[in-house]
Amino acid sequence: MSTRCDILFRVHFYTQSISMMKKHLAISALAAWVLLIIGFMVLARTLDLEIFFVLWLIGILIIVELVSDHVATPRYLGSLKLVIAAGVILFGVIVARKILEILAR
Amino acid sequence: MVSAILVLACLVLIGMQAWSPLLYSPRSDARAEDHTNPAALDRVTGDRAAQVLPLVSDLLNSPGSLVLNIKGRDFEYAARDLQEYREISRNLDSLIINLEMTESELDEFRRANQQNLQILTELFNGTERWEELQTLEIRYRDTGDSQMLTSITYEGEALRRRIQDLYRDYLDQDQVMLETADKFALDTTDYRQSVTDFREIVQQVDQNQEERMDALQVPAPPGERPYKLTLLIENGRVSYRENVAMQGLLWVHEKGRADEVDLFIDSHKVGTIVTGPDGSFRYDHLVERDRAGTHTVFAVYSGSVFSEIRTFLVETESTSLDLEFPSLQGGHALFTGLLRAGTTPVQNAHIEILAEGKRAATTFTGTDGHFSVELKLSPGTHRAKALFSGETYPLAPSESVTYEISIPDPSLQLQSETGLLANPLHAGILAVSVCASCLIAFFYLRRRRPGYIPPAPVFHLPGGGAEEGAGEKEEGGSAADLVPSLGDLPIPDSGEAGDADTRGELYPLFSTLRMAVSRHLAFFHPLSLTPRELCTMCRGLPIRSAVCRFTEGYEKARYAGGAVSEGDRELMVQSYSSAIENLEGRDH
Repeated sequence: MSTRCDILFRVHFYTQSISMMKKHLAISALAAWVLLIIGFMVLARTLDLEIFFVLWLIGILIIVELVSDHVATPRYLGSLKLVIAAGVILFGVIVARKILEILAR
Repeated sequence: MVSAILVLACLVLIGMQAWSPLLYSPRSDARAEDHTNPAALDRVTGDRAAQVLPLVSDLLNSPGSLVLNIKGRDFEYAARDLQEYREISRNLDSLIINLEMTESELDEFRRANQQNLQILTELFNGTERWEELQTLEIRYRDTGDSQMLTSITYEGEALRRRIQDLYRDYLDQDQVMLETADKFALDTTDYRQSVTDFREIVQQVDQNQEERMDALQVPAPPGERPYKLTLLIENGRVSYRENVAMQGLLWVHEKGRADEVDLFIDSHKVGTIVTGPDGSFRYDHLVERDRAGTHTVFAVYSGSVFSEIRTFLVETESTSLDLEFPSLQGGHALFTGLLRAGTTPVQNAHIEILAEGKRAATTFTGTDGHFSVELKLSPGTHRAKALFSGETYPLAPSESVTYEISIPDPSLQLQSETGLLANPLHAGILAVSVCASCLIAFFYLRRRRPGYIPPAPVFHLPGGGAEEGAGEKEEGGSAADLVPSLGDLPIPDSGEAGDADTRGELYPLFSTLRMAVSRHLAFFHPLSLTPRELCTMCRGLPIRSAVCRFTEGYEKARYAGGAVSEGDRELMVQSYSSAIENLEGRDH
């Protein structure tokens, strides 16, 4: 009985650790990407929220694609996909604004 | 949670700077201690000066070697020195622009240096030509060609006047150059030596030309005129847009016949004049692009009869550049203005528009002295002015007053519009864009990656363990995503139900073992492995026997449908444990 519990615990721990590792990697990659963008913007002295948002969206899209599995999607990735969908809509609004700005010139 | 904190921190960081991207400037950050500390500002200037000083020092030294080589008639080395001097000057210009020092104390030095570069380039060309004339003079003197000797003498006279003017201009730059050198405590020995050498060049040229003129002047026989072609200049001092009236008389003229006389200014032919019946001629030269200084004039008839050399002086006149306040049209600013020399409009003059000290546009004045240029500026506040450099004109440089222009941001203009949807085109673009992005977002959420296997229907085995396990999935979803939950698997008793449970509980073990082996062997597609493939993969590994023993039992239980005895089950569990411990360590 004790052997059986031990095995079950190991299975649970192993599978969870893989998923947690992915999650931490995704967070670290996204944070590094965002800090990199901010760093370059500060160095160039051109902090533009729109550019920052678009670059963040690109980053998160790539990270989610890399992290997501073929057969299973963790719940946090499902929530992230909703955030990305909202970001895509916002991106559309930004594009529309830019087009209107160009027309206004 | 950690990701949320990180994202929030990033957003707060960027939000703090978004409205004021300039991180620090003595002007913007008045609260900083350094703002009122002059030493801090000195440090800023000092840092810039540290980058510029070596170049300034080189520029002060360059003329010394260049003028010395010209004086020694070593034109090969002089050409190399001139090229180096030009490159250093260009480097200084670039550095000043990069450091945004256009309005700084070095600006005057830069202008004086540019002037010096131009003067020394002309000196180099002039002395080179002077040497050629010396060679030609010897040749023609040997052959006794008096006409060519006269021509050389006259050209030499023009060169002498030009070199004298250059020396005078070079001395004019002295003050700025030496003051800058004193300010930065730089050595000026070479520069001072260049002035001395320049003076010696001028004296040498003077002496040679005097000798040449003396040799040319042959005393006329008694009762004859020394020149058969005379030339007279009425007004010897002129300025921009004034006429120099030249008139002369051809004494060897045959009455009633029209002859042609060539007129030369600074040894360049400016025209051919037809004489009147009495042999007189007249020419009015309009001063426009003539440089300030002395100019020589002489006339030649049929290539052999020369007039005496006459001179006239073009004086530098001050200019005024009036610029109107630029009118704004969208993101464009229209600059209009007028350039005058006294009350005379300056024609076809090159005008530069400077924005933030950098050249933003150029244009030319019209015949009435007016100019107009449209310039596209980025949104924000700009300081702009017009500049006339005066090059190639006998005019002093001038600049207009500086205007501060505010270019509105088009995005703010959009926001301030009374109704964004008032314009159907704008509304349409916005609607299309939003709809398209909504569609993209929808398809993104519904998208299935290639190779996706739809989830198989779940059959709940008696005991209900799966249902309870499914309800207890953790938020991370890790265990449940990869293998079925083992939360409450029943301990098999006996019979078919017990066998089914045993088969169900063996799958997670197999799945975990497969993942562990794949990880160990760096195999990227663990889910594709069958039990036999897993066993084959372990060939050569110490765990091979344990893995194969487990997969053999697992195959039987899973696919053969046979009952698993308690002994086999224990054997498989032991094999599994042995393999995992070997792969991951005992404490994993």
